[in-house]
Amino acid sequence: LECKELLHCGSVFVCQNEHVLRIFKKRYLNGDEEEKKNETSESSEPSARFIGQLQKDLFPKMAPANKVLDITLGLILFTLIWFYVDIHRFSEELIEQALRLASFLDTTITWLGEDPAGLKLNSQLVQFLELFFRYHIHLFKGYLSLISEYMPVIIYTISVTCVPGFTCFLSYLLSFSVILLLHIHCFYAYACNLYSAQVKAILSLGRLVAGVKYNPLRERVDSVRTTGDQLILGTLIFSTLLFLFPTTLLYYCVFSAVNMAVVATQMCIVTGISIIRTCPIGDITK
Amino acid sequence: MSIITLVILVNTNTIQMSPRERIKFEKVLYRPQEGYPDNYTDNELFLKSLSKNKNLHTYSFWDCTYHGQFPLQQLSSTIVFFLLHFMEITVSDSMLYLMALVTVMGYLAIFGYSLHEIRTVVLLGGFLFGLSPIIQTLTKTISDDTIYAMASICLLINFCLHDYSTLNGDYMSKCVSLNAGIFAAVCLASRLDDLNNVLGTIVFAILIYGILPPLRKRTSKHIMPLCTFVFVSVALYLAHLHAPIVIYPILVSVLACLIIVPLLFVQIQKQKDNIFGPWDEAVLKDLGCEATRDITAE
Repeated sequence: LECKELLHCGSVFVCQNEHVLRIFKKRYLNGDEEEKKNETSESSEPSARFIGQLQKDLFPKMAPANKVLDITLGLILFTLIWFYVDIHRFSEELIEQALRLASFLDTTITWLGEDPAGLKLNSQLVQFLELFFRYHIHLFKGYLSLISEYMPVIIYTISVTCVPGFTCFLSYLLSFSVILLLHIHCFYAYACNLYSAQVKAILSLGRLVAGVKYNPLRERVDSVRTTGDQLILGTLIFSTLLFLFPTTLLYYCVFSAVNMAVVATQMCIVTGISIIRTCPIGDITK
Repeated sequence: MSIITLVILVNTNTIQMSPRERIKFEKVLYRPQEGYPDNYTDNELFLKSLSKNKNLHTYSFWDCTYHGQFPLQQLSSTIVFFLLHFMEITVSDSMLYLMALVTVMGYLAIFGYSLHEIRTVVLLGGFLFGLSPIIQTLTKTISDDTIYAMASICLLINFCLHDYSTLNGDYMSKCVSLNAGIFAAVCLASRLDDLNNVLGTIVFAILIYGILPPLRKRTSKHIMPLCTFVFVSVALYLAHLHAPIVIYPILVSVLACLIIVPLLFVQIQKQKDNIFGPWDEAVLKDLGCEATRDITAE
C-alpha cells in the first residue's frame, strides 16, 4: 500500500495548519524509510500507522498534570450541571438572551434604514436589504423557538462530554455556539459576498472607463480598443454601482463587526482550551 | 591637379610629419590619421550634418481656424447639454422616441447595418430602459453642489481628452472622454424627477458625445463651417431663452477658438527649433499595400 499519493492529494484538505503541513512533508514525503525501520506499537499496516501518526501530530498528548486539572474541572462542572443547577431556568434564560440578540440585530437594521450617523445611503437599496434581512431574522427567531423545547436535553447531552475532560466540554461548547449563532455568520456572509462582488465589479468597470483591461495572460493591465456600445453600457453600470457603494460598504462594516464580536467570544473559548492544555503545572509543582 | 595633390598627399604620408603639416582631418575610422589626438574635434566638421527643422510643416492661419472648429463644436454642445438640463423641459413620449430613433440611425450609420449591430443597439436600449428607474434615485441624498461639480469636472475631462484629429489614426484617450461624458449625464439625470426626462438626458448625451463625433469625422471639409454655425447658433438661442448671461462666454469661446488661438499658434510656430542629425533613430517608411502586392506578383 503506497500512501504517498494519498498524502499528496489529502494533505491539502487535512492540513489547514501550515505548521502541521510542514511536519507532514518532512516526515512522510522524505523520511518514509526511517519510519519503516522504526518499531511501531500498532499493526504493521502503513495506513493505520499513518493515521496513528497523524493523530499524534495534530493532537499532541497533554502532560499528566494538565490531564488531572482537565478531569477535575470537568467533574466539577458535571456535578454542577446534573445536581446543583436548575436546567430549565438556565435554558430559558439562554434562549431569552439569544432572542435579545435577534432583536438587537432587528434594531440595527432599522437604524441603518433611517439616516445612520448622517451618512448618505440610497433609500431604495436600503429598503430592499432591510426586507431581506428582516425575513432572515424572522427565520432566526423561529429557529430559536424550535430549539427552546429541546434545550435541556441538549445541555444534558453536552454535559456528558465533561467526563473526558473540561477541554472536551469547551470544544463541544464551541461547536454548539457556532450552531446557535449561525444566522449572524449568515448575515456576515451575505454582506461580505455582496460587498466583494460590488468592489470587483467597480474595479473592473473602472478599468473599462479608463480604457484599459486586465490581461490574464501577462498578468498586467493593458490598453484595449473597446467599441462604443461597450463603453456606454459599462459606464452606466459603473456609475450605478459606484453610487450604491456607500450603502453596501456600511452594511458590510456593521455585519462584519457583529460577526467579529461572535468570533472574539469563540476565540476566548479556544484560548481557554489551549491554556488548560499547555499550562506547565507539572513544572510548577516540581 | 588632382593627381598632383594625390602625389603630395602620398609624399607627406610617407615622410615624418611636423606638427604644422598634417593630413586633412576626416570623420572616418577606417583610415589612420596621424597627428591628431583621439579626442580631436575639427572646427569645420563639427555638427556639419546637423539640420534644423527638417520636414517642417508650417500651418497657415486658415488651417488652424478650420481645426479650431472642432473644439468649438464640442464646447457648444456641452453648453447646450447644460442649458437643456437647467431649462427643465418636459420631454414627451414622442420626443423621446424621435431622439432614440435618431440615435439608433446614427449608430447604424457609423457601425454598419448588420444584424449584430441591431442586436447591440436593442440590448443597449433595453439596459438603459431597465436601469433608468435606478438612476432616477441614485443621488437623491447627495447635495446639489457636489453633483454639479462632478458633472462639470467630467465634462471638462471630456472636452480636454476628446479626439479632435481628422486622420483615421488611433487615439487612446477617446474612451475616457466618452465615458466621462456618460458619467456626467448619469450625474445630471439623477437630479430629475420625471422618468422621461432621465431617459431623454442620457439618450441626448449618447447622441452628442457618442454619435456626433464619429459622424463629424466623416463629413466633408466644405460642410464643416455650416455645422459649426448650427451648433453655435443653437447654443446662443437656448442661452438667449433661458440664461442670457451665458451668451458672453459663448461669444468669447467663438473668438478664442476661431481667431485668437489660431493667431497665437501661427505666431509661436516661428520659434520652432528642432534639431535633426545622423544620431536620430531610423524611421521605417511604410510602403503600403500596393508595393507589397507588386513584390508578390513578381
